[in-house]
Amino acid sequence: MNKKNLILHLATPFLLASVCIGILAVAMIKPADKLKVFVNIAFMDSLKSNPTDNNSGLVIRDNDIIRNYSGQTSSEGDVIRPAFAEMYAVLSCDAIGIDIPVYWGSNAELLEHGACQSSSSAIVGTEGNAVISAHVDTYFADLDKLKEGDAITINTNYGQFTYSVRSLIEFSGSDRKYITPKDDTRLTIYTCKKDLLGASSQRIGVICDLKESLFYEEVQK
Amino acid sequence: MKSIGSYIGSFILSVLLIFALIASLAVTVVSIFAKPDNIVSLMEQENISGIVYSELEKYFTSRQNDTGIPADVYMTAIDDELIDYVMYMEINDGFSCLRNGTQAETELYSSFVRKDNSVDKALSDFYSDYAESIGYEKDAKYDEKLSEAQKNAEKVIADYCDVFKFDAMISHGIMKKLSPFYNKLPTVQLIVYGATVMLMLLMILVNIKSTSATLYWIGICSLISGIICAIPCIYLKATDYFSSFTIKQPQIYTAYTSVMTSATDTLLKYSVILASISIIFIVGYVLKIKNQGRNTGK
Repeated sequence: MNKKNLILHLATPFLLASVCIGILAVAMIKPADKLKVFVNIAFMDSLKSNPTDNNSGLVIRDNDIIRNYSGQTSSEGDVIRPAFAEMYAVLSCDAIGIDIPVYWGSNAELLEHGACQSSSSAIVGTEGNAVISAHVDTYFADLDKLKEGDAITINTNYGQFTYSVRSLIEFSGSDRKYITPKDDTRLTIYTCKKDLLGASSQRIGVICDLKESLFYEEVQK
Repeated sequence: MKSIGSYIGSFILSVLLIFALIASLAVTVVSIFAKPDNIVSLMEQENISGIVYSELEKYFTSRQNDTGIPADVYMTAIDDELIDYVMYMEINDGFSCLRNGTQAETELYSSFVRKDNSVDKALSDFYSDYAESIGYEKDAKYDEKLSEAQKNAEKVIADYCDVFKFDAMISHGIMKKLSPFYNKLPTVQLIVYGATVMLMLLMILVNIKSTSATLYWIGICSLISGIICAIPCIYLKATDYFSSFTIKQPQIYTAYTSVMTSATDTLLKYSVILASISIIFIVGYVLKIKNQGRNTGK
């Protein structure tokens, strides 16, 4: 084989490869453009997290809540906005003997730990409708025993808030009229209505009016 | 190369042969993963049933305070065999829909119940014991609540075992759109393999005056097509691309990523084999040239 032939033999594969890759690139422009959106949506986890790893999941934060504050208080102040899955309050009611943690945000896992406040509702201490729910099998087992006038206290790390039961309510699980934002300042507490096993479609609860706000002045500073 | 004519002819045929070889590799890999049995055995290898069991346990545990039914009632009645059976039925239903273009009237739920009604029995026993413990008379409401719990359990189990979400694809009409392509796959395979063989025969014809040149051309075609197929596979594996799959529900994530990873590995394996075969052709060509050179005294 002479030198010219040898050069041709060696160059041909590179030439062929260039032509084929060029044709492929041009042919793929339009399909790639169409597929790009779907591929980006299908593979958009840049962290590449593996859901079967044990360390993935919700981080629930339990806090010590101030219960016996002895300092100066005032009727007005600022709230401390909690993070999702953070325990930010304790709800207590002597009438039915409950003293339970309240977590900010609501999902199946959090409901195992205590009462949950809807993160789209008003933070306790601000104007609007604060909505808290819990399981009827555990924390709110005796909620149906509440009567008008019963006192409910919510302790947070920025203040203590006392409510009085105004009315008892019952509504369908798909009815949102009691748990949407309101203009007045109220506390709405609800749970599932006890049924013969299985998920209940009905909810029962109470609407409470705010009677006293005691913001902790030392925290406000 | 004997003449410029045969070189140009061989070059053009080579371009076509490279694309035919790439297409052959691609349809071969697609045809392997288009068989439900292969998908099912891949799921068994990845122990998807264990993941489904664990997710079902989490679900029923999270619901037990809502329903008053302990998770144990369900989980002692569900075993790997039941999960494998339902998963197998879901996969077969999905492929059956791909073949027919419509969702066949499957007997998934009734088969599920007939084959193993342990979940229904467990719920029935639990409800019966609970009603006796609270002195509740079994009336129409009792039957309604029990039936609702049993149907819901079947629905949840089937939903979790549908690891490829074929039901969602069927209801959104995706399977109907894919059906024509799926049904044409055997024909496409025949055409592609046939075209590859035809092009190789044409290559022999074009180089009829120097049959050793055929070895060279087929060799470099195999090498180039092997490399073109291997490079994207190597990129996907090196960047762990499939880990960024958006759906993070464990059983769905594992099902899809294992199929994608396995398909990539298979394509890479066949590309390497093709590239290795090319070396045989090229070495054969070099030896023939050397022999010819020795015989003509050059």
